Amino acid sequence: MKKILAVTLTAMMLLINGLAYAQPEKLLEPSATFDLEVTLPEGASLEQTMVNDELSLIHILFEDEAMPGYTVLISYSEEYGQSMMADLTAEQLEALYQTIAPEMQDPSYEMRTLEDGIVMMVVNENTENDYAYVITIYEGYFIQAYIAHDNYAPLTTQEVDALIALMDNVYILPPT
Amino acid sequence: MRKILSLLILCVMLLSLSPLSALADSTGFTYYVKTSNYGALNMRESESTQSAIVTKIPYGAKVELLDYFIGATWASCNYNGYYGYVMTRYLSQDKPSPKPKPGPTAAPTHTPSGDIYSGFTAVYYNVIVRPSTPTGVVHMRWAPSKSQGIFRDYYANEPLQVLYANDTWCQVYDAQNQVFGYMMRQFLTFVEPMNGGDGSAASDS
Repeated sequence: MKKILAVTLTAMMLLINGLAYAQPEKLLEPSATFDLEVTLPEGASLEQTMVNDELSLIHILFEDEAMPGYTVLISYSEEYGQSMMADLTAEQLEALYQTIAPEMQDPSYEMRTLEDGIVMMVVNENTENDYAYVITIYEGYFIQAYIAHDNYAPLTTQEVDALIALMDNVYILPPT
Repeated sequence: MRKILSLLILCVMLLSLSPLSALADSTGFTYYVKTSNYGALNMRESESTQSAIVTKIPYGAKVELLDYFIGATWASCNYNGYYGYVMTRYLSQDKPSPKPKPGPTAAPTHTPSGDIYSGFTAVYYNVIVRPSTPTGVVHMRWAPSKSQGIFRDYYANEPLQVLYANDTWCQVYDAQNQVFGYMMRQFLTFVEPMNGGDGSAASDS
C-alpha cells in the first residue's frame, strides 16, 4: 500500500507582513506520494510544476515586486531512508551542511526546533548575493523552502523569519 | 553478392534508426554509487521510491547499468547478480573518493577572486544539472566566482552545454533559454560530447 504524505501549507502566510488571506487552495497532486494545500494571501500567486518524476516545485510570488519570491521544493532522498532531521547526529548535520554550503561564499547555519518537534536547518548566504534555505527531512523526504529576491538583493531578518514561519506551518497529515 | 551487400547495408541503416539505438550508448556501462552521506543506495523492484527494496548497494560499489536514458530519474542495473532500479542522481561514472575518516570538518572556504578567468580550456560537452541535494538549486552567475552575481537558478536534470571549463567552474550555455553564464563544475554531470568536442576534459566531481 502506497503511503501518501499530505502536506498542508496553511497560515504561514498570516505571518508575512500581516496580509489578508484567501481560502485554502488545494493543489494538484505533485507526485504519487503526497498532496499539497496552501493558503495564499491576497496579492500572491502560485505556480506548481513537477521538475522531474521525484521533484515537486512550488513558486509563491507576490504582486508587490519588493517582496522576495518563495520556492518550496519536495523530493524523496534515498540517502536518508525513513529518517527525520531530528534523528541526525551532530556529525550528520554538519555533513549535510557541508553538502549544501559549497556554492555559498559566506555561509552560516543554525538549527531550530519548532513547537511540534520538527527540526529545521536554516542555511544563509551572508553576502550581497543573498538567499536562504530552510530545510527539514521528514521520513526521508527533503522539504526545502528557498527565498531570494529576483536580483538576489540582501534579505532582511524579517524576510528570513517569514521563510521559517512558512515551514512552521507545514502540517504533515496521515495518509488519505 | 551485390544484393546481399545491399541488404546488409539496409539492415544497418534500419537498426541505426530504431529506438534501441538510443540505448546503445547507455547500456552495459559501469557506474559507481556516490551518495553525499557515504551511505548505501537502495536498489528497488521498480522505478518508484515506494517500491520494495531489493538490496542495498554500498558507497563506491560498482554497478552495471542495463537501461538508462540520459537525464532519467531511474535506471535499471545489475549489482552482484541483483537486478533492479536505482536513482541516477546517486551514480557517478568516476569512482568516488573513499569515505573520509572521522575528524574535524573544515568550514567551506572562500575562493579568492584573483584572475577568475584563468585556466579555462575549450571542452564542448553536454551536461545535466546535479544539485548536491534532491531539492537543491544550482546558480548560474555572470562570472566564475562565488562573489559574482546570480541571475538564474537550475534544478536537477536540467540540460546545459559546457563550452569552457577549469578545475572549478564551467562556462555554460542554456540552449532552451539562450543564456550564457558560469556554474560550479561539481554540480554538473557529464552526459556526452557536443559535436566537435571529445569531452576528454569532462569528469564527474
